[in-house]
Amino acid sequence: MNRRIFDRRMWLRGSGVLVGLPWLESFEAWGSEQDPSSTSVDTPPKRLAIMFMACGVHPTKWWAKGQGSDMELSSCLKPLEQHRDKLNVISGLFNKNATGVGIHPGQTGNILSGAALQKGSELRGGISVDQAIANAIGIDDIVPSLVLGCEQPTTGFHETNFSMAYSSHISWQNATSPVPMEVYPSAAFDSLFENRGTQRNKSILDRVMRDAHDLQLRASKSDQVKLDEYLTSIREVEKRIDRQRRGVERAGEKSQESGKALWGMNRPDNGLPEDIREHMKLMCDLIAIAFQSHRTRVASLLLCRDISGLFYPFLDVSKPHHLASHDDLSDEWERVTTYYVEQVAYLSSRLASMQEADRSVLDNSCILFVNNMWSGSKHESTRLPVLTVGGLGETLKTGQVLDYQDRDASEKKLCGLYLSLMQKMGMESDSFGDAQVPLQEI
Amino acid sequence: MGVHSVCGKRFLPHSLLVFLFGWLLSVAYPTPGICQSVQETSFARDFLAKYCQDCHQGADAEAKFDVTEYFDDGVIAERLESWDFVLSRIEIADMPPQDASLRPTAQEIDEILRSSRELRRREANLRRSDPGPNSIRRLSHAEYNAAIEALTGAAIHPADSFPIDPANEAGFDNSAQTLSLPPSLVGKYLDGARLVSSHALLQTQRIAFAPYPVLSDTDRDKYFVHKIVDFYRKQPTDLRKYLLGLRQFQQQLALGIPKDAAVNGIAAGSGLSPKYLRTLADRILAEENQIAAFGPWRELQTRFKETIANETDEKQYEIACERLVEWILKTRESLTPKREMLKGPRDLHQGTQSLILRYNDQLAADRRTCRDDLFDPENRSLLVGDDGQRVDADSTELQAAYDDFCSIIPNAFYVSERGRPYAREEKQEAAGRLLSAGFHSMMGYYRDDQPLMDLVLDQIDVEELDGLWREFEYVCELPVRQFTGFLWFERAESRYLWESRFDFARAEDASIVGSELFSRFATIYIEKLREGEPSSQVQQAVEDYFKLMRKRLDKHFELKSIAQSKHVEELIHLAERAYRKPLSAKDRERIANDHIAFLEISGGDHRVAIDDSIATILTSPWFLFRWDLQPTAEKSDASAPQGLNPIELASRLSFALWGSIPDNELMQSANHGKLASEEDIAREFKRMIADPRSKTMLKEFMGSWLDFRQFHSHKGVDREEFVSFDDPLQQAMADEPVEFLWSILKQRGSLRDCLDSSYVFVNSRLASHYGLSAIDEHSADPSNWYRVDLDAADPRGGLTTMGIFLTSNSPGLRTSPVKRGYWIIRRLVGERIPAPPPNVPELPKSERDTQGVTLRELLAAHREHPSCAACHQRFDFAGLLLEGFDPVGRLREEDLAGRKIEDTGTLPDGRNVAGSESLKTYLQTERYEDFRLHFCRSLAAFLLGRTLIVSDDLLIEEMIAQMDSHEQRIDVAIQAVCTSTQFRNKRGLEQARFKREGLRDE
Repeated sequence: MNRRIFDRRMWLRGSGVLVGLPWLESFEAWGSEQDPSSTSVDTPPKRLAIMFMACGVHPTKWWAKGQGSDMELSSCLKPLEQHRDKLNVISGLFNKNATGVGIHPGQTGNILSGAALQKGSELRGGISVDQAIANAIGIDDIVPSLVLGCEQPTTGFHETNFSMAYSSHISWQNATSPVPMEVYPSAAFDSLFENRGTQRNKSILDRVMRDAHDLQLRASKSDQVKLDEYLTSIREVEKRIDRQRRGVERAGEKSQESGKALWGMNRPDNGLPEDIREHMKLMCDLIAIAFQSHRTRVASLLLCRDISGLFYPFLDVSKPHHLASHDDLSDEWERVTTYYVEQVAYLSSRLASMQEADRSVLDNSCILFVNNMWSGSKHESTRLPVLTVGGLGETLKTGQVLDYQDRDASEKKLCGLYLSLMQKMGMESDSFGDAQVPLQEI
Repeated sequence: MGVHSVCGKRFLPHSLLVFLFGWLLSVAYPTPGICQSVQETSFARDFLAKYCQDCHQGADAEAKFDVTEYFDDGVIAERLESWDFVLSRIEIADMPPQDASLRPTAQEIDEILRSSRELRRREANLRRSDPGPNSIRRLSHAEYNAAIEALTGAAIHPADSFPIDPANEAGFDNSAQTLSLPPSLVGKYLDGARLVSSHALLQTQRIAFAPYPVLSDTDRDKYFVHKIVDFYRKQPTDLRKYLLGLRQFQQQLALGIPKDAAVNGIAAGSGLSPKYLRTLADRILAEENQIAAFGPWRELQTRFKETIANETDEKQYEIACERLVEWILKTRESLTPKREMLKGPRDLHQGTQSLILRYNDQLAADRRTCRDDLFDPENRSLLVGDDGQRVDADSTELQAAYDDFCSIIPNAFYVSERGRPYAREEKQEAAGRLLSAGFHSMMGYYRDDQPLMDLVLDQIDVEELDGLWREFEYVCELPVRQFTGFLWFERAESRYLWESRFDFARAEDASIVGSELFSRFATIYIEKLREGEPSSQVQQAVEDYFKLMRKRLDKHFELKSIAQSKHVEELIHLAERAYRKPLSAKDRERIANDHIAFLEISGGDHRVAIDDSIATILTSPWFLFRWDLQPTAEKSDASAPQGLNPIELASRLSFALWGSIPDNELMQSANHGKLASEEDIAREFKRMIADPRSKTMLKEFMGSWLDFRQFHSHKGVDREEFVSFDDPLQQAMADEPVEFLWSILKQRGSLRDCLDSSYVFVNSRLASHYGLSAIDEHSADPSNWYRVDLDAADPRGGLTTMGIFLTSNSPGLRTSPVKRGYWIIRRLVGERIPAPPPNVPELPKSERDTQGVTLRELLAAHREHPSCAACHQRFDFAGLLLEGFDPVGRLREEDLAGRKIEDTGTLPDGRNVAGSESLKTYLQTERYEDFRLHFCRSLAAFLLGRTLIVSDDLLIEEMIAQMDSHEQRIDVAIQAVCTSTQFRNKRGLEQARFKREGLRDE
């Protein structure tokens, strides 16, 4: 029948531009009159934050041994030392469809979907794991998913004839469209905290109400019944908007009382932070407060794009990211890799410092770090460096070092990890991407 | 509990009866004074007292229906709809029940029916000026979808995800009675409006809508790239076709047809550009004495002449032309100048924008020029014919001849795909890189179509193409993205920016495209270039690049400020169309002010403010409600019917005939007072009914009338058994009745064709299902529907043997003569048949599980039971006569269990007949009038958007009279409704109010 089902999230998913209409569906979740924040704070939601780095890591200085808090970490992973018991260092997983297709875009646009990508001007891949989760469980949130980036997308053609859009986007709302990504911290902040989406809907409804009153003036009594019904419905919806906003605010207040809160974070300045360090830090802060204040449960952060042009004078690295990655056994690349792990550690610490009920937000979350390559000099995508931090509400086994390198190809699917996370977050899917079986060990 | 209670339960649950009566009463038209006007004693009293009163009386009456209330003719007159229902039970001998001790004679029944008809007719006449109850209502989901499509030009269909609309008693979902608006729907409307605005493309002059959401750069690019490439591809640039046209041209000249007329005629007939055909005619066709002395034209003239002379056979001539074109292209290719890409100093990457753009510019400039080294000794082999010997004597003139040839025959009319020019040829990979500029990994497009513009396109096409590129550049923010891509590339892929002096310039920083940072960057960039001592050409290329980008960026920001005010005007247009009325100055101001308010809320984000404005317009009651149906307070006599004003009439016509909002033409007529008289309506009617938009109306009407609205989600077919049944077939089946009726309507055909026709309308998918062959190339495309005239022996034709009805009335692995028969007699012919009792035995699920007996035998056994027989003998036969069609509507000889089909049946008059042909004969000869009455009543209820009332009887009579005097045409029946009193008027304010208060008293 080919009937396209309208997915309301598609227009608000790119968190920066538009924020949701969650009031309708969330009405059920919040309950009618009772304090809506109480239930959600008692049983905190599980959240997933995906952090992406491109062009590989330092291949010989990325390893871990042992278990839990005794885990021994390589120099690049050192920043995560204090989170060892909540850490999984996973290697050997890969996406079959990201191999044998030439370098870069074909290895990246499917990093979160596992889909086969199409060359030429017509984009085709698959929905990414963060969006699949947002569709299923993010629907009740103010922002179904946060899609953030520290580098603008581009859309030219790579020499492999894949579109550069594949190098620019890790979050895809469906097979053909990437999720517009927010690069400006200020805009992302506004979308989260000004309740702009609900405010906008309210001001629309105010105007609709005005039109309805005009129409009512000229109506017969029987017609007024019809219009009354409409007006009542509008008022009802407006009430729900108010209730929902109050609910979210209360949830925020509550979380503020219960720990060191970032709630009071000042709004970032307009425009782009001049320094990439500041930029990445702000993006991590945004994810942290969005999680803490129950505004979203799914976030993806593209720290850098594939074939990235970010440059790191503060690390004393002269080449920009992509070219530096070609010399990936260098000390410079070790510093770059370590710097990215520091971002993971920063977000981990942020979440760990936020209490909710008897645990921290980190305990109820999973930070997933992925890279599209193991080695940038070899453009190797047959095994990928993966990290997870956090217990995902006691559903994730942590403190493990897992190496799938020598397993059979069917047992080392990156999508198996995604499927496993989807299930742990409460989805009932039995397949995702190219995986039909969730990854067992975690 | 008496005997009757059993019947009550058997045929209609109490609650349903109560509901029906209560509801029917609510629509009855209250006419005070009628009671007094009927003087004679009640015609129904004796009958009711004798046969009904025992059970239906007093507070504990069966079905809470007290017949003693109907002892008064005045009461009957007031409650005619409910009375009609009572009569129908008596008429079909369903009441008094079969096992009642006392039952009326046939004569008594005839008598009461006749008297009732008289009363009804009298009442109808008394109320003939009543337009009927119609109140303001929201749009049905189908109307909402169609209206959105009319407003945007895009098939967005937001309501496909709304909860389905309930239908009224007549089976239609377009009446105020059933269209409620709960809070959840307000949310859906907001979502729907957001979905619509996600399709919006904010262009320089207008707001357009793409067929898919265009929230990301890639989706917007896709939209314009395809528009432009599609435009290119449909242009006539195939030289072969021009050569064919030239022969025609010569022939026509020989017949004395003037040159211009010949060119225009041939161009129109063959889809060629008259401009280019004329140009080629001037060059290629030459009389003997005019043949050029030298140059490529001379060769072509001679070859063409020979070809025409030698190849008189059409096919041979075409082949010869192909060879000629090969020669032209080969010759032309060798005449193109050879160009090399510039090479920069060490740090300048070969794939950088400035160098590639310079190269692209050169190639584009070369499209119509000839290489200038043609006469160098090593190139003489490229010259045509004996030109090589002329070189020294005539080289200037000779060069001119070659230049002219190259100018008229470009080496390409346009370039739609471009690879990477700096790479080795085999690695350039142009395929699929639509309109790409060919940069290394950077986003960028390049336009190279001047030959097409100059040689082929007319002024209108040129403007269209220019417009597409202008909008592409603007909407997709090409200059901004191209330049930020440049910054990224020069750092990440090239090494040009690896110096701290460039650190201030980040692609992520929006202010980098502002003039200040931009020129600072450009200055340093060029400074560095100079340090590498580039060639002057390279330096020029880079300087030109920055100039060009600055110009494009400035243009972009300039357009932006103009476009934003245009968009507000567009919002006003959108509202005007959506609201279906001229907007007052105040209305316009409001929309503009709303936009400003939204801008403030969004912190100055134009796009967001436009989205919110669109959402407001599409959620406004002026859009969502049929406000044209409500009486207005301004009218002086509140108790009299009000005539619709032209604006209201435009909406009414359009929603009736198209299920959508009026188009501009209709609104124009209304605004200029040309939509008032019956002639005006007739004129618009003719235009509108011939418009394909009326298919939407037919789909809605037929879908409800014949009960196939839900067929697209019908899951009853066993696809493992019927492997050829797939989604395209299911869709084709669902479309067939609509395409069929649409063809009748278009050709002003007869309603009789619905019962049987000598033709069918099919697409290729359905044709193969029916065993008909696709006729030609056109018909191979499943989106085309075409007529097939049937052999006399072919049992198809008409509605009853359409795949959709045969399939939807078959439960999987067997046919259901009961369902098929019931559908024909109840749905199509409109005979009233009571609902079945709850304890009906189930028939087996498959024809293979009938334990040796046939389905026919099982049914026959069922009919032996007297309480079943009464009904089943009225319709089973119709289904049995269709046994020659399998569960998915194909002809069959055997059933699934391998038994030979028996398709005999007994008509209600006792005759035994066989096959679908005899069913159709029976329907045509015995049931046409019943069918027509049912059709007219359904049609009227649908077009009026309400359940029919007594006064509508006169309209039905008029429809039938019109059909009788117009060969049973369907269009005249529709027109009769559109010109009727009830259609052109609405009840006054007081009339509507009175009814409501009366109701409250009940």
